Amino acid sequence: MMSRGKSVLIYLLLVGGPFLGVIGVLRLGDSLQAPPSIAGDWELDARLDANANTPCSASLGGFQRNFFTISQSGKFVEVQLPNHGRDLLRGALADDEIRVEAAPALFGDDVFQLLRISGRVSQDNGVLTMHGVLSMPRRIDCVPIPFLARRVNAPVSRKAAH
Amino acid sequence: MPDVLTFLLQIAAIVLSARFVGILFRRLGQPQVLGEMVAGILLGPSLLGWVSPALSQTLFPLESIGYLQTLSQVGLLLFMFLVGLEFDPAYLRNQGHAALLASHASITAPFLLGSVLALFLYPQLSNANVAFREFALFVGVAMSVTAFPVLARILVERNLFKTKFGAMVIACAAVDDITAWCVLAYIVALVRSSEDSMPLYVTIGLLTLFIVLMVTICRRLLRKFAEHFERHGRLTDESMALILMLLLGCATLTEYLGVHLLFGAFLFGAVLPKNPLFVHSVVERIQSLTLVLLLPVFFAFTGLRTSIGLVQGAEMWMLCGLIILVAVAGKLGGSAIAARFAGVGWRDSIALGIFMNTRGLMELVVLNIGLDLGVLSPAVFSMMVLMALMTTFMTVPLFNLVAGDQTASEEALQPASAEA
Repeated sequence: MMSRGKSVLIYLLLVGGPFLGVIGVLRLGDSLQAPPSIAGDWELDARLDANANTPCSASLGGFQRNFFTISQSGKFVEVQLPNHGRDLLRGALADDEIRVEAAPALFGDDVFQLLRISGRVSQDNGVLTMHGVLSMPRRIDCVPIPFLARRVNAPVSRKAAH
Repeated sequence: MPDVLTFLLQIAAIVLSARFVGILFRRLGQPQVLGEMVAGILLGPSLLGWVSPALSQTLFPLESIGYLQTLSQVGLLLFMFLVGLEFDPAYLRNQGHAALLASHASITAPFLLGSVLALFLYPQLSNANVAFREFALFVGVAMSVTAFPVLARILVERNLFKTKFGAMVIACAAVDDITAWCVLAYIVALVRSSEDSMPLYVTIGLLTLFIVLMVTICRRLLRKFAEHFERHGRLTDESMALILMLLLGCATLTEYLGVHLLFGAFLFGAVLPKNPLFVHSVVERIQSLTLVLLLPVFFAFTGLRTSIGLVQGAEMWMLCGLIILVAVAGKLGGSAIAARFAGVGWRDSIALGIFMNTRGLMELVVLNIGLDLGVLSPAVFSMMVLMALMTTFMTVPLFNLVAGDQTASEEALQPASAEA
């Protein structure tokens, strides 16, 4: 049978110790920086007809409704197109540069799989914008299309009160 | 709005796959609920959406997800009520400091390791909209959860429920559940206070008042249900209707307070009378529909939000592995070491740790709250769902490994009453 004093000491060590540790970790982490938030719905402004009447236009089918949605997990991002298949482009955000490519589907469309978006994210009068290029890097007959996108719907910021 | 036919097809597909995979897992010696959880994942983008995006789109069109979410919330509400109802303070009686120490250490140790892990995860898998504090607290609480219902079911299946060892495990899990839900309530209130008009101290104050009223005055008033039950010898429809209305009232109140409706449901269940026949009657009325229909909808809803495809590349898989490693080390290791320090033998300490490491669907509940609040990113959510599945999956094989031919040590196999 353990003495009461020893029990209290072990309790403080195994329960109180980690509790204090959590407080320390929370203080330590306050100075950490996470990637900027770019998740949300984006409105696209681009000359999508630049590749009209070429096989490349099939790749751009998902953009015909002029918007896309970005889902973000830190530096890892997913761009979802508003087409029927809700096609996905996956990639990463490094500082303010984003680069995503079509995620290969098990039974995917070869032409679509060549699609890539690369761009730079910036704040413009309080609105998050992205300047970049839509391209199909494996097809030399497709003209890269410059675009400007604006975030029109962002998730709620959780830092306001902190 | 999706047409009724699509909705019915969804429910049929969900129930069918949950039963099929659940039974398959049961035959493999795993808890059936684990199979049902896996079935939910298989219906989402991780399998169905990957193999056949067109079928996935037809069966689960985007506009129908909201309806599934509402139905799954109703299911969770009833499930959390049942968890609370089946929580009996008697579990904690006759349990020495070993159970108290092990249960508290099984929360603080994984919580600490989880928050340390958050230091690595936050810069890579979160974003600047989420405060580190909230992210770390959520990762911590996700690491600390124990699936009380799954654990109780495994103990019953192994004939351990009424043994000294089973009583200690149940006591630890019960304390763990209560504490984890209180911590979660605080964290949710903290996160929501950043967007609500109600300041955090008001939320905490009102919540404390609500809890005190529930466990004192309301608990006494609710005894009338048991008295009414004993008088009539059955649970009348009027009593059942009143119980459901009070349940909805408590859930609405805690949601309004900025905590979460599930906390109110759990608390209401916990303060209802513990007369075994009364509890059995209420459980019997609600359980079947909840477990067979509504919970699989929740698993499917979780599966639709879980994309294992998000975990891609060596870096992401390493982070996922790290999450699982930290979860096991914190929960299993923390509980086992604490129990050993409290004088429990090594084998029983490790067995206790193995059981406490079972996260099951309680983890999915916590993770869904984190994702809804925007604190957990989709990739962290998916990794943690994998962790929940893995830690639940490893319970039975690890226990078999430690226990060998016996279910636990001979001393631990004595009836629980022998200790009193």
